[in-house]
Amino acid sequence: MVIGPPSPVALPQSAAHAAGFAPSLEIDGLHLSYGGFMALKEISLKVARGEFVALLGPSGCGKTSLLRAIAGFVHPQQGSVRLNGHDVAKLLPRQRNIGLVFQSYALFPHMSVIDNVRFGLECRNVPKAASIERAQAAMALVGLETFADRMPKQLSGGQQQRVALARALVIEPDLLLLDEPLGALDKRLRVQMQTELKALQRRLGVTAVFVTHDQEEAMSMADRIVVMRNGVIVQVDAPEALFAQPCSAWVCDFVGAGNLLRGPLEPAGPGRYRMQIGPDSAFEVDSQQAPAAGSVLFVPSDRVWLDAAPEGQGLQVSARRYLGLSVEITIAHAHGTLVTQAPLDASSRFPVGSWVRVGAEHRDCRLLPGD
Amino acid sequence: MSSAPLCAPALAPSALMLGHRRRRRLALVGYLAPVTLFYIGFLILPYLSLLELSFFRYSSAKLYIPQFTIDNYVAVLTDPFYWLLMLRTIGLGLLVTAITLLMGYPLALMIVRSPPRRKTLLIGIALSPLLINLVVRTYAWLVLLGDTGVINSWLKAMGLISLPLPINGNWVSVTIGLVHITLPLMVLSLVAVLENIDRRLAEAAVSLGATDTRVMRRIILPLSLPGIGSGSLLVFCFTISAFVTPALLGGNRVSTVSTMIYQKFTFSANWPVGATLVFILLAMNVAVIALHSRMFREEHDHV
Repeated sequence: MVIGPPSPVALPQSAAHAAGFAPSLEIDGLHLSYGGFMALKEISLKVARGEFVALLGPSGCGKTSLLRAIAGFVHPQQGSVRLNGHDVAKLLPRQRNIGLVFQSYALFPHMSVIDNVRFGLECRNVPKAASIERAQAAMALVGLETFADRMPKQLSGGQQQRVALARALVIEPDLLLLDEPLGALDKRLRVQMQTELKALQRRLGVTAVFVTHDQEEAMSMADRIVVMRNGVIVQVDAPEALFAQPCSAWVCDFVGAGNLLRGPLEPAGPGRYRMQIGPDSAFEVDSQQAPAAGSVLFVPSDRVWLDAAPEGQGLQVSARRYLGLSVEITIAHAHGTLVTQAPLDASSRFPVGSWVRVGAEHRDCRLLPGD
Repeated sequence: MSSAPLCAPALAPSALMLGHRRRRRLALVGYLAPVTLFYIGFLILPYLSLLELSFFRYSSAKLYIPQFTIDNYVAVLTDPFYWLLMLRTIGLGLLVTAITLLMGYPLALMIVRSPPRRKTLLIGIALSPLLINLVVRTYAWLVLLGDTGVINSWLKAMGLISLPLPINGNWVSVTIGLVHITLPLMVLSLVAVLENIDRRLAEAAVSLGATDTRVMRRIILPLSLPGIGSGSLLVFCFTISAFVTPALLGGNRVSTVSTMIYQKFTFSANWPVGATLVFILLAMNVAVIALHSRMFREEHDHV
């Protein structure tokens, strides 16, 4: 599916939007618990208009609870949610003008595609002819113009996803919420939809918050990623910043940002520490204070250089993983393993079992609090 | 299998297959035999003998004369008395179905939306009429509704009425009794279908701006139509075929096809007409089932 040439106005504008409203989302000090279980603790977040934010975290971290609290399906015990600057605590979900896309699409099985897409407009008492026209425009946006009279069960997963999207977008919501929207699709379709979704969001300028446990998906789509763990926000950053500077070993591990080396750190000069992992292999890192107990040395996989070492001296390559255009090489060392990436041709020097030495620029290394 | 000839291998597998298939069919026959024999003995054969009886001649001296005639069917189908009887029976069926639907739907909704413990309790209450013997249940209504029954005594004692309310020995008590018995059928049919409606659908509708009324009208109700259909079918067929309740609660004033059949086989001693009415009733049931089938025909995917 190819989205046509970008145009500034994709959907017929409604009066409210013409007024130049500035939609945004503000969450302040949100606490949410179910029975005795604390699902969200002290959640604060600001999302700018037109931003695409991902809530990323393992199962049970509270990301879906947060989404449902924004939508209004659950009520926080403390804290506030503001949409466009208005506190929505008193507003029912149907009054909040949000668009919701579920992982299971939740298309109405007994209604045709066009009736599904029109539903939100019907609820707003838009006259039938106008609602059909707007629904058709929304379907054209997602590339399903000819599917108006089909029934949901006649569509493939990807098509159903697009209908769900059109249905949520046609009402011109202030905020688009997506709960693991691409989770049910196969890998190839998922990657394709990621691109389309992002392009659509850009084109329409709609603020969007989506939930995912797939860090690759978050990285590729989001302007900013909100990493959550056990009901708290651990780090909020743009993908590049998150990758380059994870704030803790856990984040680094979850996001797959690079290597975490756990070993003894010795002083190696003023403000510098060193971790020796092999006879000729060491990493140095700058740090103002002495490393706290449990600190972990972080170095991104693509910053580790690799060189041949004399037979029997140094570290050994324990595994190789072919990634298509490059090879991921795993090296065993005194305190575990680390990985580095090498382009295909260069990597042929380092078969499994070969002897190597490694290192990295001290600028690329960081000390992270372990947990 | 050392005796197996080492001849064309193409032959051996097909011979084995035939053996398997035949063996499987024999096994199937074996499993179904007891049930089949039961149904043949206690359903098919009696029905066949009744069918034969319905074509025999009536005699006031003996119960019937084994002479072929279609007089019975002609008599029944051309007599306005019997048409009125059938219409009243169908009318009762429709009334009871409508009442159980109106009462059962909200109850089913409540059951489906309840937390687990309350749900079990509510289902238990809804099914409780089925736990007691039908005759005992019916007599219990007599106790409640009778002229000197519980309701009338209380109302009299409270000075609200001087004469007992005419709620017994007529269509009112029959309707009440039938609703009581068939309500569990309706509720169960509805609960089964309502349970399977994805909760996310209502959430999606709400997020799009639907009020609770709209969610009910546009999402829940349409999706629960199969349950309404099957519940209504069960209740209607049970009602038009019911005997105990109209017989016991109707005094002698309420006459349905079932009670008329009973009458023909006992007081009137007109067995052939009785048998004819049996098949009229059967035809009514089959017609309703066919109607339901057509209305709720599963659509096949045209992908």
